[in-house]
Amino acid sequence: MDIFIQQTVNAISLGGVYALLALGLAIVFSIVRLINFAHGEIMTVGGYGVFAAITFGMGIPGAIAIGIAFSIMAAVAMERVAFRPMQGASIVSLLITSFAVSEILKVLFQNGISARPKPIPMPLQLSGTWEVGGYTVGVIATISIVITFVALIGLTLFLRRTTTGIAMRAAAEDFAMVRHLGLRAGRVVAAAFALSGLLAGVAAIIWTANRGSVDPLMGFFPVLKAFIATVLGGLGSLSGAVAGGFIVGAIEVFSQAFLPDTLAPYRDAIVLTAVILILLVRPDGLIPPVKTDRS
Amino acid sequence: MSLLEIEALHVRYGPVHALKGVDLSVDAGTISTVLGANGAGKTTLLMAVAGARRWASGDIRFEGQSLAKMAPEDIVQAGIGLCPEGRRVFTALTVAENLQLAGAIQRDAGRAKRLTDEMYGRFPILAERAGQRAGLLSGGEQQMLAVARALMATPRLLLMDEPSLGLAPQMVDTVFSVIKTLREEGITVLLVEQNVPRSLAIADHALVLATGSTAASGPPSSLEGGELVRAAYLTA
Repeated sequence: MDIFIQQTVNAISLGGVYALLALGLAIVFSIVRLINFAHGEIMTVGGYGVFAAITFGMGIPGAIAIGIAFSIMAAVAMERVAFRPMQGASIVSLLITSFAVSEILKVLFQNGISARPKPIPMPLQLSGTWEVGGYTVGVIATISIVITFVALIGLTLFLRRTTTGIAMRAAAEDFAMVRHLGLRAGRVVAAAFALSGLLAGVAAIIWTANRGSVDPLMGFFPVLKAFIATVLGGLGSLSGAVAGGFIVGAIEVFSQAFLPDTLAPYRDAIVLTAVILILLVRPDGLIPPVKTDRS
Repeated sequence: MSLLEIEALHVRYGPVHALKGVDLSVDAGTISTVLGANGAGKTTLLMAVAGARRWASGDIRFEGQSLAKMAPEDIVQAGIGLCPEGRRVFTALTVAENLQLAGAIQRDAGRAKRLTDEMYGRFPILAERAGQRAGLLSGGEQQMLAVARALMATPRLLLMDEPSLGLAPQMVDTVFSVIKTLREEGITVLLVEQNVPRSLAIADHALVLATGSTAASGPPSSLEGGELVRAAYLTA
């Protein structure tokens, strides 16, 4: 039972990271119709931000602030430099552009910083375990869960209470109509990227705290999982992205914990098979988005 | 000078020549209606004014200023509101959120609030449904919301595309009386409609399009029951 509780905490913690990344992908996709393959690098930039802040002795709060700020700046800069000039391009051209951005950034990290992982010394009290309700669980895993849920609640409030948030929800449904109400298209898009960067920054902090290091490929694999989560949840659907993130995280953790060792190499294959089975039953994803398509 | 002047407007979609040199002057404080069969170019004309369609040649001027290089959001800022075909309310947003979003163009938050109250006074059903998702409203209620949403920008010219389409007869009456009220308040209306008799009954000027060209243009009295209107609908 103890193991099961611990693994559930791990599953929610990992799923939370996937959910945050999947949300960033979904927000940008729902508004710009861009599948941003460079989203992982936004997360990596956040990781290097955490590394820099810790290295310069800024402490944990400083590391959190710098990590998130780096990710937001990376996302906004990416939109300005790479995607805004491609306005009106087909979904395939945008996808290829994002691949290029991703590759360029990875090479820059490898040559400009280091191809090897940079260790991030974490305070000892974070790496241990503590007792919650009689069960022993990891400190970082529990903090991750709290941070994830604070981020999700904050995002929900932002999307419901602020005009920019409402504009983003409206733009996901009918972007052209938002412009016909006099709202600047560029601002809505920039806000979407900034928000996706913020969520990737939160994910980067949780990820680096769990792993204690940052490397040029740090963002690649979690974002790959987040892509699966967005497709599973329904591409462009925000609640779907969250649900998909937690499901992918849960399948991954539980298959690792409870499958016999001989099946361990097939873990990703098992996750993907489960996803394919769900998509066979629900081809538009678990929670498809509201979208009125107009020429 | 007219409020809106459309001059020799040509619009092409690839090989399709949707508008072939259309002229129209809309005077301030009037209702102008654009009639014609499906595919005659009515919506194209309206969406060109709204900034959603680029034109190949000719010009559209609002208060003397060319709209040629203006983005849709700039055109709204300039004073032209759009109540589009199919209403296009944001179905996932509540009625209140639809209006709040439309009010964002007002720099003064107090003014946006006053306008919202004014809309609830004008369309009491929207006040009743304020917290409901717009997707749950009936077609007529959605049309009221689309009009209210466009009015939140306090436009001087309101573009309306088929506002009575698919509505119950009683709702059609309401829509046409709303349009007349707007004119009384000094808002100029450019109206695309399939309900020819009702539109001609309230309009000050009518433009009849047939496959992208002007078939007739003038005050309704010169057109009603006329050969040109019939011709426009039969040649489509």
